[in-house]
Amino acid sequence: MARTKKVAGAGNTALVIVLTLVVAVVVNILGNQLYGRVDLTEYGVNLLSDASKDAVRDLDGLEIRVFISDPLPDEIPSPAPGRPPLTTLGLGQKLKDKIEEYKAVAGAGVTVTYVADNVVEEGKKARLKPFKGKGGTFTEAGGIKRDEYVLGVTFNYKNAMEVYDLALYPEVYEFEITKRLLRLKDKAEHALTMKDLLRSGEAVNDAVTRCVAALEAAAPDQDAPSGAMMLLNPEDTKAKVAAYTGRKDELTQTCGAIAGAVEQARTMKGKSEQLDRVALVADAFAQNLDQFWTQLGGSDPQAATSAAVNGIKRVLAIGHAIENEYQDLVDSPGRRRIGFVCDGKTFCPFPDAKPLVPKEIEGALTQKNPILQQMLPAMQQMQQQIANLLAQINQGLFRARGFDIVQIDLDDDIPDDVQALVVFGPKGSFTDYQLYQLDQFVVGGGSLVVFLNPWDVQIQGYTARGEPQLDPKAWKLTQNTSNITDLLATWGITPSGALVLEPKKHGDIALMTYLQTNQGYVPFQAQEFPYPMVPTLDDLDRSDPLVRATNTITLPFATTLTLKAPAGGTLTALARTSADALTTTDTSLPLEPGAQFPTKEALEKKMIAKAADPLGTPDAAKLDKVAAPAAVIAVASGTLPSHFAGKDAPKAPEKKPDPLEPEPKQEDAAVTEALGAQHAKRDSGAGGRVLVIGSNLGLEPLSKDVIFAGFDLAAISGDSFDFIEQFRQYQANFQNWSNQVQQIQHTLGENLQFLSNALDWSIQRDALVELRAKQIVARPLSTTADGDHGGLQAAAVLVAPLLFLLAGLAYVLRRRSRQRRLSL
Amino acid sequence: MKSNAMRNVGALARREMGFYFNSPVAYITITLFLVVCGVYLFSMDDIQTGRSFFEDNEASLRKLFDVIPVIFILIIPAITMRLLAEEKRSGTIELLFTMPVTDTQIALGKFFGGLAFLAITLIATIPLPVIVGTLGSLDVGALVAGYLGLFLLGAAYLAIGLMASSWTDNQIVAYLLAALICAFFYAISGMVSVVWAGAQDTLAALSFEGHFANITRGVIDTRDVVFYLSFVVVALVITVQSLQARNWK
Repeated sequence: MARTKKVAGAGNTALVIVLTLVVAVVVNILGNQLYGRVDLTEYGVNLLSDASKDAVRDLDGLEIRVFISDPLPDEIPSPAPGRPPLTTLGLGQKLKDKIEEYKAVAGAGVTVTYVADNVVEEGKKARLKPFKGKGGTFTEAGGIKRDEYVLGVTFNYKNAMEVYDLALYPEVYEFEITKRLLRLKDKAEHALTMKDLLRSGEAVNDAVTRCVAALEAAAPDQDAPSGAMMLLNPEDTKAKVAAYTGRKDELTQTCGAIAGAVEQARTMKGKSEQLDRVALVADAFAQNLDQFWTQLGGSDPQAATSAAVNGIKRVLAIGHAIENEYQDLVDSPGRRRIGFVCDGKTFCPFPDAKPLVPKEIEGALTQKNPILQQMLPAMQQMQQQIANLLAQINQGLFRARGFDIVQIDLDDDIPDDVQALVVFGPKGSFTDYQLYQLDQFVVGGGSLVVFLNPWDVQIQGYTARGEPQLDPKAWKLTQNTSNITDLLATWGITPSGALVLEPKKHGDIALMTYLQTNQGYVPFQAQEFPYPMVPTLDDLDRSDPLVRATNTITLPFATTLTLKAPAGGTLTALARTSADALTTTDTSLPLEPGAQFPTKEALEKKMIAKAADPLGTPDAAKLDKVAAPAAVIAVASGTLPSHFAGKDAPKAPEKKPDPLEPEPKQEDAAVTEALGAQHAKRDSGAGGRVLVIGSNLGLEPLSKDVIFAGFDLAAISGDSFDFIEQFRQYQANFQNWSNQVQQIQHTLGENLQFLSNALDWSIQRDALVELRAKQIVARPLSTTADGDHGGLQAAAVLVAPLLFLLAGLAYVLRRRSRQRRLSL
Repeated sequence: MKSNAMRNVGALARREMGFYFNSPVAYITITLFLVVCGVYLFSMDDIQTGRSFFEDNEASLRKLFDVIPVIFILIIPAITMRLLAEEKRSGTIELLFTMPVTDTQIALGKFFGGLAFLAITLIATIPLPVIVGTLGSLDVGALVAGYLGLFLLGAAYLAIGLMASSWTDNQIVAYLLAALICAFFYAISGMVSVVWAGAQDTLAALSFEGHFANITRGVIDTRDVVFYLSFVVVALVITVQSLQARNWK
């Protein structure tokens, strides 16, 4: 009986527990389907912003396909070298949540499909890049094949497509998705106007792709790891030659469509740079294919073998290259490009492929002047180093961050797809026509971003002998002048030219320490010193998304801006100096760290020294206090006047004919007239925006003109040896550039967010600036002074808990005494 | 009838509160907790970033919200270990059973008593956000969400502690059991790599840490709230069943 009761009781208990668990599980499953979210953060950083909502609502009929490998690994190696592994746990759910939020906003206008089968393969087909986890399987060859995963989304709207792959950072999901939705809208709208170009490109791409597939199928590679191995296997090579020879007619017929497609694309030459490239690659493919057939069918068996192994590889490589070019064409409609102005000695992040000395005359020169046999290769090496550096900056600083940048020569027409121009640190002047181009670009509704370069600061510079100038007296402060300031003044932003010094809020400068050895001075290690000419600005206009998410901006060797709004225009100061800031135009300012604000004793000492030797010690530099916090970054918008209003438009320079380019076609009268109307001078205009930053962020110009300043081909044509001095100067210029950048490059990292914001803002992607600001809302501490820490720590660690303890103990004692009284 | 039940639960909760706050133990425990929180927030480097609060230069309590769940794993079982285990050991539970209160009311009363202790502990930490707020602009919304997350997480820990306390009459055993279960559910997402891949999603969904991380970002998601409440309900039902087991054991 007792046993039965026990069993029944246990059964009941188990049943209740199981039922409760089942109910809990069901409630949670239902809750996962029907849920609500409230974002309590101040700027609603976790839920979709208005910009994102508008972006998705604008795309009625949007199709979203979500690719999430299931299961994802719990962590993967970081894509950035040297970083800890990325935790991927829960990323799939986070991506789903974000997509569902977009779906909830757009409602029936958006279709979301979660790809469930063959996710990796399907993802690859949809152009998603896979990533690899730590796990893998052993291959038959003894290696390890790492498991592949995909995590990303494709967006299809009308005939346009955007891909978001490697969605590994949930904190930027909204930014990345909205960025693609904005692009998608532009792309779809412009794709209609580029229908013929796209169709033509598609025909070329299809023809080449079909040909490549047929060639690969005709003689598939065995498991040979390389061509070299194939040569060692004559049987396979023979089989390949036989396969291609036997199917030549069939293959020629399949590949025959290329010529027609290329011909068709050529009829649209000049209308799209991307289509021209597609046609060029297809043409190169066809030519190499012809050459391959010629070699294969020739009488030389060795040539046939080489063609079957290496020739076909080259052909196929070119054939595969067309995929990227075609994709570039497909992505081109509606693309918003940023043009980097490369005139006026600016920092221009584009390698210059043109050699200083043309190859054709190199031999003659070195024969005449043997010293050039060593000099010219050294110069070429230097030029190559410069090109590599610029290519790295181009990729790392701009393209990798999603900015489509192009080089702009202001003497030529500015391409239509360029929405913004960036003038980065001009050290020289522009011609009237170049200024006119900038002016008309802004007045015509474009954006202009100018990073000024008011001062050239040479610290520890190298002499032409290659020796570092370690004596601070030899360090130079030179004012740069560029006539771009006249243009900016028209829009109410006048750079004062005075160098800003912040006595209290400033960053560091990294100077090299040297060891003196028998061979001279040897660089030892870089050491950072506080430097008032690298001001740190924290007086930012937090209402503006351009700087809302930014804690501070550190601008090396900056100048102040005087603001006076033009009629109809609006001016906003985005960043200001502190009230303690000083400015100077005195080039005798000592550049040694700590020497800008001499103590009273040091000044008295100097006075004594000056009395003893009036020529020996310079006076302290003249420093002016800023009247009030002065602007260092400013924006002008609204209706902006033209600098050339009431003046004749300057004439465009005559183009020098390039012997390598064919004669340009004569435009017919109607086209010329239409172009003329398009380029009619405007005296003012709305929609244009100008952002001026009083510093070049430390990016000094690295062009051929700056490093090889004064290079003259005629001067080295003789048999003189004077060129050696000149060559040393070039080397010193390059070393000095490297020196200057290294001294303040640490500040660039801190300013990258602002730089990205400025570029997004310039192409009218204000929504993205807003989103970036939303992701990282800066909440800096108002005080970080050392003295404040002790008090705060004591308050937090001791005072508050002690007060709580004392109050508690007082309550307990009071209660006990009351109880004692009651018991008595 | 309903008000009677509520009165009983309230009386039991007050009785538990009295146990805690009529002796110096609760004040000393909370004071120690506050000292640890203050030291970790202002004087120690972050476990994840390796940087101090002042080096981070950000007016945020995320660092604190990251560590309190771990401290709770040590503190909350200490609060709950005596709730039923001590009554069982001393025999006072029999006295309780003779009173006109149901087992559910006993479990709820003790749970709410613990919950009040938890609430007071959390309120006692308010000087920390006040100090941080004087240093910079604190996101109050995220702060409120963070406290709500801590309260929900603490409630789940409390329910687990009460459940463990109902299983034994030894306080040490109850403490260890509760701490182990809490730690297991908190760190379950970290154990994912050592289990069968197919269970990863389920285990990740059961993780206290994952749901808490969502709330501390400032988002109140009904899924997270339902998850914690489900946990509390299940643990309380098991506690009640454990009490009722005396009828058939």
